[in-house]
Amino acid sequence: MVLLPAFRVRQVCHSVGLVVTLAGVAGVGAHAAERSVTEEDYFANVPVVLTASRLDQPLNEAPGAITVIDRQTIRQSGARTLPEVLRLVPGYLAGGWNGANPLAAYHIPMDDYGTRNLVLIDGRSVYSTSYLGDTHRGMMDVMLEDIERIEVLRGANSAAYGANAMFGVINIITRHSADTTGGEVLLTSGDNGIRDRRVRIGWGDEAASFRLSVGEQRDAGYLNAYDDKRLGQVNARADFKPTLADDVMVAMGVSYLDAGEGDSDNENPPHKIRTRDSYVQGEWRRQLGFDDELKVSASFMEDAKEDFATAPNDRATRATYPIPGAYFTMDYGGLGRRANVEVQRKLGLSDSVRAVMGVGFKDERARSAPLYNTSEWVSFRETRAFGTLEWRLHPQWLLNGGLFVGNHSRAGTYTAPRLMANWLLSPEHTFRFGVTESIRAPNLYEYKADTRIYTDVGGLYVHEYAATGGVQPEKLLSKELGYVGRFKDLHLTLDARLYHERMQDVIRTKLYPHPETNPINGRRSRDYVNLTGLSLTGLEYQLRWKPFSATEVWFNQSVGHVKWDDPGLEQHKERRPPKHTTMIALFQRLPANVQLGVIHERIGSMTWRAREDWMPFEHRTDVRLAYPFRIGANKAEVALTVQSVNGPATFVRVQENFQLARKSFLTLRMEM
Amino acid sequence: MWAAGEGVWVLLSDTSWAYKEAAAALQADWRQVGRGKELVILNAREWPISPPPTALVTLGASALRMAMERTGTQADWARVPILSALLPKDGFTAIWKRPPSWVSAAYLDQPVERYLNLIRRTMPRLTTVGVLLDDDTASQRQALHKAAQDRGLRLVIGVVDKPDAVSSALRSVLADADVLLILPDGAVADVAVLQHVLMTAYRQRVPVVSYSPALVKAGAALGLYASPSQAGRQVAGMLKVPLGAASVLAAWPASRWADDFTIAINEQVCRSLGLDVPDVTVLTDALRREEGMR
Repeated sequence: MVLLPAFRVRQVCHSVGLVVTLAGVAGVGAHAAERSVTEEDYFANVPVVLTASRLDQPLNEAPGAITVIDRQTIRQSGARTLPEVLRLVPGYLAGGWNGANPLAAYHIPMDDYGTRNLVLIDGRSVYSTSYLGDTHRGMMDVMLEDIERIEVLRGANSAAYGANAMFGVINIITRHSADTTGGEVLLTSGDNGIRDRRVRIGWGDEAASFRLSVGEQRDAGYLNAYDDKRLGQVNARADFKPTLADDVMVAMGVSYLDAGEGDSDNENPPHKIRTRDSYVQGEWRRQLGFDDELKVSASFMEDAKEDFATAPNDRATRATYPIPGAYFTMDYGGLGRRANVEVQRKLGLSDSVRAVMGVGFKDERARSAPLYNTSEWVSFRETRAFGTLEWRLHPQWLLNGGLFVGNHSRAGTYTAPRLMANWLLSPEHTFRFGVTESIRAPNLYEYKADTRIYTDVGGLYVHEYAATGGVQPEKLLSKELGYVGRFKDLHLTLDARLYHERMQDVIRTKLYPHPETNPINGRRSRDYVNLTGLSLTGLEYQLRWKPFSATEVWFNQSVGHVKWDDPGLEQHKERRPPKHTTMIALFQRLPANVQLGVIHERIGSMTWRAREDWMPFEHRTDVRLAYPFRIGANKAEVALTVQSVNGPATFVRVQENFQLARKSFLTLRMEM
Repeated sequence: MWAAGEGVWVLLSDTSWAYKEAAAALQADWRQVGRGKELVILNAREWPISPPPTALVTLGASALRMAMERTGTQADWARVPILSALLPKDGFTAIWKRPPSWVSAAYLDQPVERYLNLIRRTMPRLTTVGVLLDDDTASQRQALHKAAQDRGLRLVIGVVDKPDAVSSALRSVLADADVLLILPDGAVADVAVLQHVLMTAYRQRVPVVSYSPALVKAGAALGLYASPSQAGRQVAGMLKVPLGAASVLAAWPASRWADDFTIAINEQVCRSLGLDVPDVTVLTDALRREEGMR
């Protein structure tokens, strides 16, 4: 990782003039026993472990608003899914078209899959392009208990990550395997069908360490919905330290989701969706110098989906264009594969200038006869180059410029620039302002959709989607004014972001008469086109207050306004975020080390879809009470969580009367 | 060159900066404490065979070792008062297990109370302090517990009873501790072990308070230590009374912890751990006031 190579250690020591015993440097624990401490231990240099470039950038120097949620907070939140954790981030909304598909959206519920944001797990993007562009499924690849922390960049960051980093970048960092040696067992049981279990084993030392986590989550989803979920996860991570300057991480895993799906609509009858996500990734970091790091990473991912249903053919007996057959079959299944490789160098160019630069390549493909009407792979490739320059112009001024250039085999060459200035008025108060442009490249389905639904006797029931491929990337121009403040005496921090975002060329479907199939069924097909634009303006902030050592309070508020360019969308109130949201969380340590966590959320009226699914103002309160204890030498904890204490409320699919149930569950955790 | 029996000799372990800096500080204060005696600064390699001086100051471990050898082998050196500096207590006792009353030290070690005061001042919300120690330090453990108790802090000690137990001891300490205190102890004083400790603690977001500026540079949040010139000045202070006394031997001072201190802060590490650490001068003044120092 960051450590200097051995020869450098020697150089450093000689320059100090004290010769340090270097025996045992190669392996922890191999140090000479009984060695007494001398003055050398005081005055000799120790190779730098945490260099500036490896540290989290101080929040007030970051080129954007960042919210960090650590392991302890994740646990204290009582969340079972990542979107539930993200409710703690200002501007985020938690939803999901059913209970098996939790989703988090930043500012605006633009889609059902998390298509317009980026989710990274240990630097690996889980964004799947094989269908409509999906991060919500990829979020299920990681178990909450394996997460060290989540860093959410609120806003766009295509300048660093390229396409799709539009409405937020969720950066999930899993725990280093050297920190999770030993065993852990977790059992959760509750109402609403909640049955979770998980086992983790870890072994090794700082030179080579390993972790294997296996878990299963089950629940009955929303009330009144056919959305029972069973999620099985297996994750493995290994970390190696071959030399003092090198760090190697290898991770792999697979997750299976078996979920109920469907509603009262004949074209989405109750059925099962089964998905399998698998990945393998590797990362090698070499510290070339104090402020110089080289990183090479590669990953391969596969997503497979079975989504098959049949429904009565309601068009068999109609007067015009009757379609023969007793029932029709729907299939949205398929297979996606993604390969990615990247080389990045972080370098301090001088005392005041730091740079990150890199190049990468990815190949993403999908194969699905029902979605693309071909047995061939549908694919795209992208070559990219990116760079960020951070210039400390003055002790109080930090300029950050970034540029991403992508060459996409379907979207062509695109650029995403960013310019941000941080004014460090004092160590306690920082103002940040800047502008950034980001894009979302269309997904394979938006380019190549060709979905034809047939009846059991081969009649074409509907040619639902027939993309013409003319769709262009969506663009977002964000302007922001940020503030990060620390009020030491009050034990308070404040992070605020005032933004204006202008999105253009929003991709939506448009009906058109397909020349090949239109005469047969009299129904038109859908194409994906750049149809409209929208503007978002708002303010969000988070206060974190620690009035006493045992008390922490988080207070988030977000107010915003959206305006679609298309008056029809305004009228139909499509994808309308709430005008205001408030979240207050209390984390309190009580006597006997009992931990209390309370999260109260108030969300203005909104809709995840259209006017028909309009949700009134809602509030929700979750409470968690945990008691840590010991069984012999083993640490254990028992926790009772009650979500939606205030009772069930209509959620997302109002027309279908889907409701978020009150859920109570007991969790027992033991570490060995 | 010099008159035997009239001067005070300062023996440097070698010519590295730390020894030279300490010797220079002692020399600078000599006018006030030397009582007209000559101060002779010698490199260990050029230590002449000659009659002994009034007193000997050794800087560093190898200088002390040479002095001990000479007192054991040359009869006229047997009762020369020796003040050892630039050496921690562990290192001193490893060389000279049962020193006579005229052999004492100005240890490099800071009193543990001062570390705990620093922790309480800089991280008032962090109340559980973790420490890794050898298993043969029962008395030190007791002293630590008492000092922590007096300051409303809770102490978690990880005992490293064998060399390969560092990882497990560290894991159990970090599971409970809000802050990790690294003391100059044989249990951790090894480059690779220190790196491992710093990295692991950082990953678990536990700030480290350490005993050396190098550790602060390497990744510890805070450091508390005596610089070589502070050690040099302490030697001067400790010699003032005996050099003015009728019998140097009878007035020879007892061993003492480091009087003065320097605080080092790794701003970047502190910020990334969310620590609001006061300015070094403010902190230094506050700690001095607390100890009733000037």
